[in-house]
Amino acid sequence: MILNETQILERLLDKDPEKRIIITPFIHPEEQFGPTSVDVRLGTEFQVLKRANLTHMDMIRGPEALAAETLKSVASVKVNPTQPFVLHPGEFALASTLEYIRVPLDLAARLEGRSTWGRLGLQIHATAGFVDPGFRGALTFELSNVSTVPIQLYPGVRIGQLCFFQSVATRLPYNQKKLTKYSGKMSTATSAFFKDPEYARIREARERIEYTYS
Amino acid sequence: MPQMNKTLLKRLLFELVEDLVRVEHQIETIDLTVQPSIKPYLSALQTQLEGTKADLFSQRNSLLALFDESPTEDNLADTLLQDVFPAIRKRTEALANAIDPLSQNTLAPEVELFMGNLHLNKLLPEAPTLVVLPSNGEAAPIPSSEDLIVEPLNIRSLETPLHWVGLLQQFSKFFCNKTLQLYALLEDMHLPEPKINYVAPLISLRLLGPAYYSYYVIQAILKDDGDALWGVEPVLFQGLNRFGIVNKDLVILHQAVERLRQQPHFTAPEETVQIFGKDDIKDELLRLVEKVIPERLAFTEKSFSRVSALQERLANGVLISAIPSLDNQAEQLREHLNQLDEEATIYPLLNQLGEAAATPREIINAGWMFKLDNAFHWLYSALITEQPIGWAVLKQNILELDINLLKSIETSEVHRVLSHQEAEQHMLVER
Repeated sequence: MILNETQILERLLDKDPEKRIIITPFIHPEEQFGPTSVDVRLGTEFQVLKRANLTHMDMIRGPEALAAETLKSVASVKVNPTQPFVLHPGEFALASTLEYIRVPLDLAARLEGRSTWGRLGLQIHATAGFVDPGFRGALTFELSNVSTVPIQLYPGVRIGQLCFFQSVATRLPYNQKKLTKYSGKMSTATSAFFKDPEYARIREARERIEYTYS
Repeated sequence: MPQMNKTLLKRLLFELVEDLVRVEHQIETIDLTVQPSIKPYLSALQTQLEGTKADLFSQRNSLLALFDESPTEDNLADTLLQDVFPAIRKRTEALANAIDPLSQNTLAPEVELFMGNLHLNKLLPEAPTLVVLPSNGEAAPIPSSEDLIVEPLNIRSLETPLHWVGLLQQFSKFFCNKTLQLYALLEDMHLPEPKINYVAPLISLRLLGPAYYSYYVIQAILKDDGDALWGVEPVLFQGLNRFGIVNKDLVILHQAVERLRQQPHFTAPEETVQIFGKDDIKDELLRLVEKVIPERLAFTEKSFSRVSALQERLANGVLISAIPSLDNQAEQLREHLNQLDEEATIYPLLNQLGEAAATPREIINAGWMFKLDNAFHWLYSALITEQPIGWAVLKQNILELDINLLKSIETSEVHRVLSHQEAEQHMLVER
């Protein structure tokens, strides 16, 4: 069941801190509330890929090398509140919500774009719009400009909206999951794909096979 | 050296540990892609750092004795003050000196927002430009002049908002010299010379609030500065009371300093002791400071109540860029919501949910209050937990506080712009 505006409001005001949704800073709630959603704003920090020295992402290398390579190939850009970040056609950038968000254990959420921005060709997530129960921190935007003209993005503009869904309270909240990678992050976080255990398993298997055939 | 009580010994220990955490963080965050050849050097530094940590934790039993209720034993305080602490400090400083030249730390742009928030130009129309420069403590003296004040900031403090409250010291002295009314009133007051050393901290306190008190006292203890602890601390604490700022951790810190002053070996210049032993001089000084710094620019009781609300949020790991209006009004709003009939609009209710932006000064004060409240607990947990987990958690607590404060200052600036509140100053950084 998707929560309507009154139910979202009730959750923002809930007596029980465990059941309370937190969205802060809540700057203009009357502008941010929709019938079944709350608009969220763009933060100040962006991350873009530096491609000059990058041929491809070798996912099988050791996590330390991958972490170093990720660091090397990502440029962080912070913009001030009255200056735009310009996203060029075809460009991809990571950013995050201005707001810190906490989702209670019995709710899940979904991050969606706003049609105002969709009409300009801005996509705010590539594939990861789902927010687990127990999430706390800033949500990541995976920004793409699919139009043919550059888009100016100012910090604080409402580019996304959050919908909440009722769930039965989970025993695996996001912040306590065994393999949680982005919980509690206050700003834009790059992909920590190399922490997924599958890569270590594939690496080991490949080493075994190479050994067998050598 | 006088026998130091456990409260002050724990404060000193926490400062030492905090410094070591920041040096470790500095070593770990050096971008090796810029200079790959230094990797073996960094590994050597990391080995030395691990040795320092191991030595610190080898004293675990003595350090844990600081947390029980019994009075401090002479030999415990002596061992810590004469052997353990200086050894850790010396090794931390050596590591810091080795890493500082390689450090890629840059001055956080949020420092400009913090300084802008103090509105020094409104306080002194011809205020000099204040420039904050990274320093490793060994730089040549930086010239300050009539129209330029250069405040050096330790490289490890560039992204540590709690340390920024020390950035106002030169300005406060400049302000004392340039404010004729204050200058004239000081002429008639019987104070040790130079008088400015006793008044400037009060100016900083009035502008910065309890964060400055905490910072000043801890620095004075670290430097074993008898003059500051006898002459200035009592006036600063009285100032907190006078300005309506009451907090248990501030009282505990003050009482610990008071107990230190009562020690027979405590040394302070006789003139300082005589003059500041009387209450009337403290009141006179505080009245004077109130006269020259108007309430609208001062850190007030109202600011402190906002800080207390932020401190609660920090305890829950929540961003503190805005004053949590909801927490206070939730019950009233819930009732209002329950009474609404189905067709009524909820816009009036939504209007009341809006949060106000916190100021950088409030955010940093909340950080200090949070640190005072939690430092001993963090230390104790680190000491009773298996290593390296204990150290890792302590380090995470310290660094996460920095991250939250920086992010909160930055976010509050966006909030101010969007809500038509006066923005402090803008920043643009490309890394």
